Amino acid sequence: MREYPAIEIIRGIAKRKERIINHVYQTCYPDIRKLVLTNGGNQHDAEDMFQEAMLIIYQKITEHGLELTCKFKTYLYSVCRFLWLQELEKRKSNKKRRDHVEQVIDENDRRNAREDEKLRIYETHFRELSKECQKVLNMYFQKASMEEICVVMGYKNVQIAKDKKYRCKKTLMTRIHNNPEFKQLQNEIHLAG
Amino acid sequence: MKYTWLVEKYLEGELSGEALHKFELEILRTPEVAEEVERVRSMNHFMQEQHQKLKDSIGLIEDYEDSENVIDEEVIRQDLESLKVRKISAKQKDVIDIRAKLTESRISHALTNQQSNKVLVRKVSVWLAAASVAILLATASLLLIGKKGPVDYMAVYKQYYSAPLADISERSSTLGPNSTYAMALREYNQASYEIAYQLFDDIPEASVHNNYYFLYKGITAMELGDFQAAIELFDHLMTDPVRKHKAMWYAGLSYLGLEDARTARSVFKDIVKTDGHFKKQARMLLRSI
Repeated sequence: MREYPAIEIIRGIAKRKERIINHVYQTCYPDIRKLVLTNGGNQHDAEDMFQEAMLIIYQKITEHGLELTCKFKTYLYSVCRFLWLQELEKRKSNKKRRDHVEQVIDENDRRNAREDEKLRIYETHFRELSKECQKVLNMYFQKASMEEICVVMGYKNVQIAKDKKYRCKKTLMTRIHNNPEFKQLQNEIHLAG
Repeated sequence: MKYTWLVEKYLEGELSGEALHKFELEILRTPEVAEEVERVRSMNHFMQEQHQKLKDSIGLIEDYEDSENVIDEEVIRQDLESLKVRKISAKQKDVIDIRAKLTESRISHALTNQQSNKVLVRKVSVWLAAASVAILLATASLLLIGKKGPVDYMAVYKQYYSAPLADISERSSTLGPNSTYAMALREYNQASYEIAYQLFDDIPEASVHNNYYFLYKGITAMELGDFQAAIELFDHLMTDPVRKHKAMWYAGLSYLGLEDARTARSVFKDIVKTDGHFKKQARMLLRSI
């Protein structure tokens, strides 16, 4: 595929040239889709994010001009990344508002040190996993389909995606299970009844 | 913890028909299997729960190729704020036009991906015809100088795979000729792989003392096309100094069967580093893939 310099892409977007828009889509969308799908979004989110970013950039180019010292792809990726972080923040605060009633009810409960400990143990072992495993499991736990995982990770078929997911889960599960602190925690919970 | 591929398939709802019925019976008949399923189910729940709490604080997981040049969020925030991004009206002509072009790109991209395995040509143009001729000429040149086209992993698998006969003397001396294991080996040697697999399955893994069980059951699984189960079985032999190299060889072939070339290459490269029986074959196979 032909490489266009940033200045040509910017001019092409300003004039809404189909050839340039198509080129931007072909070259930039896969990385943005990967970013969104690996971080809690789905296919629609990725498409919406990409379109919103392109419209913002179009507005910037036509009203204020745009000069880049990086590749256009990197700039577009940075804008999408920023927008997706904002979206994740919005979803988190919406969730907190929905959970607010529960929090009020639990307010008088003492803070559960065991819950903190469970999370600490999980986080330690999750971060020990390879980047590939972290990405696969992050998508899996956020209910991405195996087909989406297959596309984002670039696997040849869904069977390979299932195999990777299973192996990554098995590694994580075995490490947590064999952690003496986890075993002690399980005993404490069992004794507490 | 024995978190097997079969337990995974069961908990993910991927078992059906005869296989599901058989596994459910196994759960009812064997308390160890039932306990294991519950343990894995409980751990699955634990990990899911903890991950939900963790994901908010985990930050973005990304590996963008040009990551060192990705522009900081704060810079982008200031950039866009200075722009005072107006609420883009859906009625603006230029906005409608650019949205339409983005949608068209998306559809075209999706169709191109769908059609990548079909022999369909959407547009006939002089440019496409010339490109096709160029590709044909290039392919012909490659054939003439003996270079390979795209790899057919199944063909390579078939070229290098063969099921070895089980040596009767490999049986444990505590087992008699009428033991389930002996019967399984006999069926295996007669290439009755479905019956052999059922017989292997009837032997609880906890009672297995002879590691050849995992090897021959794994190869039986390969014959039945269940490469994932085969890999799972060969995994048991990775610390066995006698059978490890054979297990690695068949595991590598199983990854080829799954068309997971990346992992297959990694396994065969490990075999080449060893001084085992399959070193030369692994080297030759790596050239093919």
